[in-house]
Amino acid sequence: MKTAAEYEASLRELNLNVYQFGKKVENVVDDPIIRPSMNAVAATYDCAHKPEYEDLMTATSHITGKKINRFTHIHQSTEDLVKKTKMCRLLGSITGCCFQRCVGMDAMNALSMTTFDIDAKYGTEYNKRFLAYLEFVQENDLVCDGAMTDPKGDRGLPPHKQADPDMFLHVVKEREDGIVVRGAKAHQTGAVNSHEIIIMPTISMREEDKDYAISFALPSDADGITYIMGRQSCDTRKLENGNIDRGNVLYGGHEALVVFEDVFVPWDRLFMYKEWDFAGQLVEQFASYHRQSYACKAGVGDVLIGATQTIAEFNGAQKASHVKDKIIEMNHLNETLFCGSVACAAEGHKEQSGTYYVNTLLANVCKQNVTRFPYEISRLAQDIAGGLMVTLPSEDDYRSPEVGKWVKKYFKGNAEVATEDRMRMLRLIENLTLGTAAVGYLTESMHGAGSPQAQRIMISRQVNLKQKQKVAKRLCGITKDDE
Amino acid sequence: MNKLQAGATNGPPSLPRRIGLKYCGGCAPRYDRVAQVKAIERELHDLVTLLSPGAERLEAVLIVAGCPTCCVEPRDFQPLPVLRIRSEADARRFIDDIRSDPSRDLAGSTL
Repeated sequence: MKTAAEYEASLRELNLNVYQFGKKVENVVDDPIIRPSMNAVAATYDCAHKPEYEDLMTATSHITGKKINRFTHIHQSTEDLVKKTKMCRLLGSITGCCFQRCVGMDAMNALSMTTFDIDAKYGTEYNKRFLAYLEFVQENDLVCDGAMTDPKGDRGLPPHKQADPDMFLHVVKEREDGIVVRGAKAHQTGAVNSHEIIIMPTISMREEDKDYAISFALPSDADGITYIMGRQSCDTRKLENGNIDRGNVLYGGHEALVVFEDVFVPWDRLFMYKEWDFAGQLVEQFASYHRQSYACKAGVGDVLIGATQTIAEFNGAQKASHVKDKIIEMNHLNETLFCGSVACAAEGHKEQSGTYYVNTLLANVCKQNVTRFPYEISRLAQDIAGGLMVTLPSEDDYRSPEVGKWVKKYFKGNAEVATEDRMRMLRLIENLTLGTAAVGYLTESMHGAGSPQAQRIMISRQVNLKQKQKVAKRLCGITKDDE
Repeated sequence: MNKLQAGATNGPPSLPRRIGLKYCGGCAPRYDRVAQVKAIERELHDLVTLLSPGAERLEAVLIVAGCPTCCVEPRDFQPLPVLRIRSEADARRFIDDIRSDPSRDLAGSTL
């Protein structure tokens, strides 16, 4: 397994084509806006080497029998699934942000099943290719960006009917040694911190869309791939003097639009090619795993709850009964998030491929809660923190020879607490609820792994309403059998 | 005989006693596991040495779990006796038990 330092060094060897604020980023690893997100991924390496975390952070490869980082593991039991849930919470609670590595893990687990099933139907060799690729990922302890979301263009039209055919990533040319693809993937979390990028289709498809039914993996710096960094609220605070106004002084996340402009993919890196009837399965399996992964938000919630209790103490308000009750409510909501992820893992099962798969109904319930509860937890945090979290002057004012003395004096709360510490805690709450980390904690909670309606559709498909009706009728004395 | 069994001997154990330390993963610990282990090492420094659970000549393995679930799989350490700390009170009890009887039979511990 790589150390965090080795991971950082490996990123420096990549030749990524990254743009930010209209300019090419020459040094991605040390860019002050990107760097905190690299730190968060590095934590997934660092924790794997710490005895107090290794039980969750590592696993035994079912291919080689070697100890590996769990982010490169294919789940071999429900215990593995539960440990994945716990690992996600752990890392959220350590970084207070998106640590970006779950999406590749979820892509690989989904592909371990879908490639097996395609082979069973068509006699192809995708699973063998995939397992060889997986071993390469495990041996080199790589970060993989799992890329699913296409730009999608007109949402009312399938891929082949789009006015611009590139709205969904597709094959444009077939060669003897592979294929050439064009298109893009949007909202790619951790893309420029990744060694590899794994492409999957974004929706179920029909035969007319078979040119879009492709899955493959490439090095993240393959020719023709360009990354355009997404903006985050308050992102340029990372360019300012000091670090108070950043909120989280160590970690962060990032997203990017990834453009594939006529990119070559060799055959041995293709895991699905025009098997349009398996596109929906791959999407559903990836999405279900990824909906489980949102246990990370319980970890970030741990940080926000800790910050909120602390600011209540810094404000001198911690003994108020309504404050205590709101903290209890925040914990109740946060643990409910965790419950959903643990439940879908514990109720997982073994698929034909041997991979263990989550209970999909419960995974969707988990994620549906995630689309709501972080917003309420954030509302309560802002309620307790007070308006100062959005009216506080800057760190430069705090350090100003002219006005700094008044900032120190008038923003003092509890006399035992330094004004600077109070400012730092307020900025962390701001960061989590409306700053750079709110990208991950709120809007990503809403739309990541599918928007709320996607989960509601899955829930409606999987509950047995007829059985519920049958029991209700029996208990109230209706004896007529509708069937 | 595997390396875990190699530590099994007859007669009173020699001090400091060699005990493997295994943490749970710490997803939502209810107390500071690492601080408690430091307290154990500090208070029992002359009586117990905590080592990797894969070390040789261990007498037992001490699992330090952050909550009562204690999700570490104890079968991994067979045939060694496994003791479990799931709270600060358990850590205190472990310290007190060893201090009161440094040669106590770890296999008979109710932790």
